[in-house]
Amino acid sequence: MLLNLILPRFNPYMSTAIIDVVYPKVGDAITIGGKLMDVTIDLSAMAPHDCPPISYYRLIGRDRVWLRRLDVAVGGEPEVGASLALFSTEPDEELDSAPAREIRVSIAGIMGRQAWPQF
Amino acid sequence: MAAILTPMQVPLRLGTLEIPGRTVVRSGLRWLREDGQICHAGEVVAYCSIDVWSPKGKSATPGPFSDERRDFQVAISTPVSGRLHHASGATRGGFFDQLNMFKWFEDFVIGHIDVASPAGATAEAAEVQLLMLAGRRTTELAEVRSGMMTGWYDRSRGWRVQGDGPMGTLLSLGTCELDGVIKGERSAFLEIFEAIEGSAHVVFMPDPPLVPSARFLAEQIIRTPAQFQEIAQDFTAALVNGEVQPAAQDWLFAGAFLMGLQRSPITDSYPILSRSGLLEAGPANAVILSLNAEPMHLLRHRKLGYSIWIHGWRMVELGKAVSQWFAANFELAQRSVADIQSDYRALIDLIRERAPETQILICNRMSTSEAEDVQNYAGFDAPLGATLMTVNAKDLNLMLYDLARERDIAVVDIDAIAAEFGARAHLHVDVHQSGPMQAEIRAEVLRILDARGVPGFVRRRRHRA
Repeated sequence: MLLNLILPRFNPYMSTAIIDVVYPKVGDAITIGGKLMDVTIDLSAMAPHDCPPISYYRLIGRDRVWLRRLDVAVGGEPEVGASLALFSTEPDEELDSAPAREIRVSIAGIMGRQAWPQF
Repeated sequence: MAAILTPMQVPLRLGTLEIPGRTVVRSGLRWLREDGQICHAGEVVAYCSIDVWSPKGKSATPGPFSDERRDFQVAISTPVSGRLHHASGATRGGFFDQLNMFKWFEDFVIGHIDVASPAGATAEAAEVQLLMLAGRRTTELAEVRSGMMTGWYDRSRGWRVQGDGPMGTLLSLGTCELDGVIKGERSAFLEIFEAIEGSAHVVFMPDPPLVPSARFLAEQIIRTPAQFQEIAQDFTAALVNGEVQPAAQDWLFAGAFLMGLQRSPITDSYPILSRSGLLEAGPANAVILSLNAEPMHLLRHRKLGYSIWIHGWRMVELGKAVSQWFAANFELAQRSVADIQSDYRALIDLIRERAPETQILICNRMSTSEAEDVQNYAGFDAPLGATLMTVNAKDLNLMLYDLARERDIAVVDIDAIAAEFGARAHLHVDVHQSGPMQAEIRAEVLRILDARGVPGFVRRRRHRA
């Protein structure tokens, strides 16, 4: 069974996310609780006076799957709803069918580097 | 048989406001309540600018309010409830209501209140209640007289003197989450004074550009003039001699930055204008701080060793010259929760060394997030407090409770209030509260001040929400 990961809107004001880290490589097995990606939500453009406009999140897998395809790269800035990756529940499953559902994920705010361009 | 009530006019007179040897002057009134509107006793109905002139003229010698004189205002409350009527001539419009063109006459009547009274009763003029407001401009160029306390201030304050009891001063040194809590919806301290009775003085310091962390505040207290001069010379020399020519925004930042480093609000004392003349208040009887001003790292100057913090989004907006100076001269110094506790201890001890009775209040942090739905912590590196924002906030909140037991400080439990209100509806990005939540936090701050016996901060029995 194929599962896809799309960028969820976990902050009501976000429209995109910047991909900071992608933890697994294509072909890697993901255990339950395995790290998938760290992302930055930067609201500076829409809320320049709101603090803190930049926050950091980690996406954690809640399914036992294999990463089969990455649709984003580090530094990319996909929009909410964009496909980030494709997973399968078997390691060598064909990729020609449509995803049966989205992968279950947990999301949490993480301590990120501060938004200091100088450091 | 019920008495027949008829409207009776109670004239509202300004009342005495004088300092021997000086002249109190004012602008025309700017009304906050319409002619004919029903007002309750204690409600602010108008405000005007005010100043204290020296005997030789407007600016011959610096007066007690010399650094606040362009944004010195008085908010006027009615002492009785009823229907408000404006006096003709009380307001003149335009600059006449902004500039101090009129002498303060105690018998000047600004209007009257229609109150329901038994037929045949006569009314004596009632003295209006005064809430004094003063803003110290970050620069005198910040000319914003559009309303009450509308300028760019590095310090704003309000006070009300009632009776002969002692006056207490509350000093707010937090981040933006204290802005509305302390200054209220109109940024003029109206709500906080409406909720208390007694002689009280509230001072608000904003966080731009320098965030008031405990270490920064402690360094402000002990920094000598010579040390400040060394910092100022180092900074200005670097700007003048740097590779990048400073632009206007670099100099504007430089001024605010140096001003912030030079001040020490915790040791400030303040002139107070009252019905009985000029008084002095401060240093503060109570200081309120914010855990949101304590990031897990500070910027430390490599050579001179002083520590500061500036919000990251402000750093993004800096001019090139200042930005380059930061990059070349500062390092990010990581801090643990224990380091922050140690900084708090040092600050509290410094404050109480000078004024042992000072009450310290610290706002804790919201420690849950609506965006978080963690069911398995395997994906987060230990220690969780160094990885997860919410666990970090819980670690810091716990540290505050240890500190409270150890140093007898009060924790303003914003975490609990936010949980009770519901963050989704009342808290934006874990910091910015809705109006109702600000009011609840304000009530909690006032409850703590009252319970700890801070003079002047006695809660009204029936506070109008």
